[in-house]
Amino acid sequence: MVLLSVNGARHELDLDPRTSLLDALRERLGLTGTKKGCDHGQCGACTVHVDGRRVLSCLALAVAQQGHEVTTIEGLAAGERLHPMQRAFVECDALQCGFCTPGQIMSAVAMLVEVDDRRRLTDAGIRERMSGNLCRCGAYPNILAAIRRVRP
Amino acid sequence: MATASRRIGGPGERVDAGLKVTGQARYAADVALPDLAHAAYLGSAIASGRVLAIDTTRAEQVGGVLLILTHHNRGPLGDLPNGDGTALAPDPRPPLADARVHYHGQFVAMVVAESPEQAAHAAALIGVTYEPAPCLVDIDDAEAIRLEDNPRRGDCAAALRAAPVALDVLYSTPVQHPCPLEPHATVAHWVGHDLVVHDSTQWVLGDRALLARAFGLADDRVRICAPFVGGSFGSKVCTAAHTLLAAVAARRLGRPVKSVLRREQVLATIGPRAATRQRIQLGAERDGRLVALRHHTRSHCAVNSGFPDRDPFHEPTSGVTRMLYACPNYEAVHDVVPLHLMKPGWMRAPGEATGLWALEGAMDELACRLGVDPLELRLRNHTAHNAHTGKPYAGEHLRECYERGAERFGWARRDPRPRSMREGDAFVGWGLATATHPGNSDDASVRVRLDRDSRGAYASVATAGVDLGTGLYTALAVVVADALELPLERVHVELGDSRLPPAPVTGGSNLTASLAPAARAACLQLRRRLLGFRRDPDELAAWGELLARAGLGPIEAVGAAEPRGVPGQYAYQSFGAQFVEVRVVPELGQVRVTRVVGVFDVGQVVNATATRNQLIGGILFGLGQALLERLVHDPARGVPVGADLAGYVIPAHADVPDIDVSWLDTPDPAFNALGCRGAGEIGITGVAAAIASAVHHATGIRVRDLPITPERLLAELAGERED
Ligand code: FES
Ligand code: FES
Repeated sequence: MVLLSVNGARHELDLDPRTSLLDALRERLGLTGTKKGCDHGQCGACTVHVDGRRVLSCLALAVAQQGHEVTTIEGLAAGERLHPMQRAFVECDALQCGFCTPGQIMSAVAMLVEVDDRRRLTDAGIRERMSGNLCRCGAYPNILAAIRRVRP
Repeated sequence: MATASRRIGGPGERVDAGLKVTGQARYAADVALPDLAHAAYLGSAIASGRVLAIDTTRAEQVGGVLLILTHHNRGPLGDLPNGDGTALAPDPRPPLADARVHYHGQFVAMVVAESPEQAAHAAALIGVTYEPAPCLVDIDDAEAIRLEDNPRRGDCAAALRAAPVALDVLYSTPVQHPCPLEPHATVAHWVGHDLVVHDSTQWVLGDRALLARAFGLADDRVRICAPFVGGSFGSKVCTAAHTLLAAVAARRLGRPVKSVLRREQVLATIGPRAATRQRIQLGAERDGRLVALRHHTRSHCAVNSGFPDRDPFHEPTSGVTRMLYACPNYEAVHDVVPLHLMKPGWMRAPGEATGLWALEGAMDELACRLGVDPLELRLRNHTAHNAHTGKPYAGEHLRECYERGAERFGWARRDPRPRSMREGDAFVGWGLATATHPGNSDDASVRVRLDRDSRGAYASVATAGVDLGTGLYTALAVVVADALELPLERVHVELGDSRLPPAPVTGGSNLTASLAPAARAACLQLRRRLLGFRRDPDELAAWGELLARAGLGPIEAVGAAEPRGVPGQYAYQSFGAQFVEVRVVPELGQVRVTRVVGVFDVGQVVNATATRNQLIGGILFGLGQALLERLVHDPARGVPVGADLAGYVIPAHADVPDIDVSWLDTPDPAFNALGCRGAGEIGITGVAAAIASAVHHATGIRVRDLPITPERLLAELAGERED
């Protein structure tokens, strides 16, 4: 039995040790907001937070998450109130098909926590730090605009 | 969100954005059903030959395994429709049909198990003995077949011989892949004798027709749902092999089956953009006016394409070269080269993205040869009618696109000499190209229902059309809100369900242009019915009040896209001008696109926000085509090399330049009631040629083979130093 803490709720799961955190979230907990684009750590669609840091959940084993706090896109908003990054994504049209969007948002939120001085973050710096999150639709300029809107 | 009704053509948030930023939008792989079983596939380890034996003993012993399907036990399927326009199979033979193998990765077995891990593990334990045969995967190393359709006008050969200026160049493109971020996914389940399929598809009615035929069912016994699809770019037109197998397995097991392709399976088993070799011969007067254009294309197809009984799929490169420039003598020839690869298919702007790469590259070379500004050369060859059919364009504003684009970019400041512009360590280069895409529309219908609640009237809009990220939900909401003068949040749109009024495949940038006018037509019917209940013609009564007065419940109307004008009178075409700036540091050979300006004429824009996003997305697809994307197959064994997102590199955040897109406000009222043409594909069309022209301007090096990689430029630059 593994005890997973996801979005503030605790779940006791009987897990195959091979199960990735991504598959546990999607297939066992029904949290399908986190997406699988590659299962290889190459697209960023599966980005979640583990103890506030961004993690590619396809590369993390679910059994190793005991004792850690996992946050997914479903847990980002405070009830009905969207997180400022979600709000900014809507306002800046930072998406098309939406498949990369949960990963982009989770990645962007954690990325801003990673940097010491957000105000010194340049556009090029944001692009570099977000390059693990692919968007085949090419909503990149709007994603950048959304992140800039939240940055200060 | 703005609550006032939004104007057609104005900016505004997507109506489905809230679902997408909270993870609530449900894509096919997100569908959860009780008792769901999971599929995994074993792909062929050879690219050509036969399966001699399959040993499933070890796989069967894996706990949780429910079913293993191979060509021995897949069971019969009905004749699949192909070529009759009702549906498309990617491959003329259904999956697991027999022992023959014609490309690497072709499914040889399917495993269904209780969990995805069990299915994947069992699939890996299946032992297959093959009898390999020689395989061909190199387009330059295999026999070609000449296709019969050779569009021509005038006497091209004679005109080429007599032309004062002649150019003869070969442009190439590699195998490239639409590679949407959402891998192809299906959840299939049977409810009694009816089949319900949640699928990532561009065409729910195509899926329905194919599955109905496969299982010998009437169409209305099959339901396809695709409310959200995670991108497609042409790759989800055909009903994928795994979708069919998921339905077979679900029936066999009496349980729902989920089937999600792995990324390497997407790249190996979903049709790519064909590789092309395009010879362009131009004959011109000394002032640059074209007198002859010959376009000879070779593109790859699959060995089992079904040719000659079926279209082998030829990348339609000449569609654009025949019509774009005034030129009295034209000829196109097309050869296909059968290879042991998955049958190619559509990828964003099929034909235009490849054909313009060659033609616009050649035009830039001609401009250099003659010492004429590349923009001026385009203007000298401009035509206000389709050069091939002679039909006038109903709306054509290409000159204005060039003019505005040149101004926004600052083209007049360009020094035409290669390597004349530097900044620090880098050579700076400017290039341009024409962009174009036909205006397409198809029969389509939309149902609009008007009802009221305590807050007044609201509208429900429904059609089988699919929103792939294009913004269709929003476009239809805006059109209906506008036609019925309702606030946007009083309009609810339902899409992507085969039970809703019929709509065509989302493809060829056709859907908004087909469905938006249909939605408007439905609204006009409703208006006419309700306006009769006014007390007098000047009364300003709300719809809710008129509904109440009429004593009616909800009323509804189905609108169709109506053909306009005299059939065949006009040609409909979108145009654009694309300007690109690149920087190349000679020691690194890396091309950085730093600036793109695109000005487009796409007719009436319905939703400015989504249109801008889509045009930018098209441009970034072009950037990938030009600099990054190439699917390589090992020539000896036909294995796709690096078939993942680290090997098949697509643009990332860090690749993105400053992009300035705009459009002319030029509705095309002869095309449809809204005058809109669609903007999904035109963005990509001129980009690769503009980038290559800019690279030439920066470095003096002409690259005619994509992608333009650092290795290639470094080799050229090194060669120069030795000379
Ligand atoms: S699914 Fe995890 S990085 Fe792509
Ligand atoms: S919005 Fe489609 S992949 Fe990013």
